[in-house]
Amino acid sequence: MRPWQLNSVLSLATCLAVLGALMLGPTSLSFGRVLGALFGQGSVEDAIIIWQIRLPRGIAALMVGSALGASGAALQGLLRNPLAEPGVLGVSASAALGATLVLYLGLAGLALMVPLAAIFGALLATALIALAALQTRSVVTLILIGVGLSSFAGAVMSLLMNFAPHPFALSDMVNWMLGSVANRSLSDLSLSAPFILLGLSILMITRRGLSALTLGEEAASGLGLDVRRQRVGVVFGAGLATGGAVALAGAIGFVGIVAPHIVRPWVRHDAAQTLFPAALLGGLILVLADIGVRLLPTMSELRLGVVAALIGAPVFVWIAMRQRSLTG
Amino acid sequence: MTITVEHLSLKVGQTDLVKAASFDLHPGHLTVLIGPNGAGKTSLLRGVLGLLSPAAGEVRLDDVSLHTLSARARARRIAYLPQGRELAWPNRVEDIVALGRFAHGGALGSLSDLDQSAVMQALAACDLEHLADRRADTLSGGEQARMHFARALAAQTPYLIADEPVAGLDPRQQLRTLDLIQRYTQNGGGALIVLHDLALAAKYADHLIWMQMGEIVAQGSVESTLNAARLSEVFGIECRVSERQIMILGPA
Repeated sequence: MRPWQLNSVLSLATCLAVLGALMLGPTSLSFGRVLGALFGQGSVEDAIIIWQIRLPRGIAALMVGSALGASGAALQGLLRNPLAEPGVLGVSASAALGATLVLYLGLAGLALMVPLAAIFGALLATALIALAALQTRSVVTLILIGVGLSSFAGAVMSLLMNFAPHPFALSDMVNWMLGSVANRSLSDLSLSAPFILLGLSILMITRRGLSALTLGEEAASGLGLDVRRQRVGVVFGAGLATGGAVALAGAIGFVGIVAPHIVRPWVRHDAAQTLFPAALLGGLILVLADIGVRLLPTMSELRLGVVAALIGAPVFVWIAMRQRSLTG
Repeated sequence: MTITVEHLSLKVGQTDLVKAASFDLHPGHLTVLIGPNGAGKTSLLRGVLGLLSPAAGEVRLDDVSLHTLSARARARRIAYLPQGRELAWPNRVEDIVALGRFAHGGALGSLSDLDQSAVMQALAACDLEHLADRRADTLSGGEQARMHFARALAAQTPYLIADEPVAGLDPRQQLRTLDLIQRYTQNGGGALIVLHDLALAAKYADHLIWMQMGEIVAQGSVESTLNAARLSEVFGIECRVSERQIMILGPA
């Protein structure tokens, strides 16, 4: 299968998954009723279910998954390490911390505050990681810095929860930490979407340089790559996309590691060509996982972030164990 | 096209890496840079490439200052093989060689016919055709060295700069790799390479540049610059030299 065929298959599968997300749920809707509701022909109830519940939720899962998949692929290309990912490197946690801080301070009412704080947190963490990557060639050190960053952000979040002014603020913050796309409205989407789309565009525009980085930074500069510009592009792109994703859905881990890992062999391990299918697959995974979360007959609804971590963390360990160059 | 290096000085902070280096590179010439560890050879290569900005002096390609060229424009004129041979992903040999087309705009997965034919020629020249589909991380040291040279060749640049291209290779693979570089210069390319093996340097160099403590202490043909006194002074070894043959006797 060639890369464009892979992209077509993934696009088609993603469309079908989103359609499935619209049809399935406590009230299952037929294909005809979904179409009717989408184009304003069906009953009022159907329209409410589709437009206010399932469509925003499905699109949120798709956007968040794409943002995380592409950010993961780009960070892996930049740092030349398959374990790099917004969650592992502490970028998601830092973004969640930014959002939590806004919730704690009771500023969440101001429209753009949550996404902006999340993006600020994400950019700060990404820049820190990129800076650390300059200082050390050791993959282990870098991952440890990410773990440290993650733990620190988690600790500060716990602190904020500890001092939560009232139970509502506390439950809001817990929601952020668990990660979910439930109860999102189209206006929530419209706040985060521009940042995610801008981030994704930056990543897509700068992706070609990731191929050159396969040979290391020194050889890549010899090939004519402006390594500094590449680094800034990936940091900004991944920071914006991850920050937007966290603003929309809270911290959802491991999508950014699983999606690129699966598509990489199909694009002959080219770091640049990994980006687009990783975004598609990341979206597909989260849309499917969210359908699963909604259909599982649990007492209270499972959080998407919890499911992602339950599946993703073992995969992370598995990839890490297969990494021969981890000591490098 | 001639590369002229004029009074090039390179510094990191207050430390001098290279002091007022001047030399020319010509098409068809294989220039070998030798000197003990820490003499500043790698820094000089990086300075010639513009990867280190000069503290003083300049590098010109004919009449154009190298420092005014974009990274891509420079990479279309000079191919660079650094000392470290990192491979982040298990790419195919063919795809690694195709990275040589980067500065020409060739992206993996969408190479133009021109890019494709440059890659095929480079693979053929380095006797790698039968390995084109192999994973690059499964190659032997000698095969990897040829692969990296092939990607430099695929760039079809008039100049090549290589930092210890034969480090870590067995004698036969060293000769094989240097034969490829020699063929490149015989076909009209100009090369500047660092070698640590003095016997190989004496065998292949058209022009020798001797470096010590950041300075060029001698340059010229092998015959005019290679002698026992200089080897003792620069490398601190006692040798017997006859024409291009060196016999190392011990530390001076």
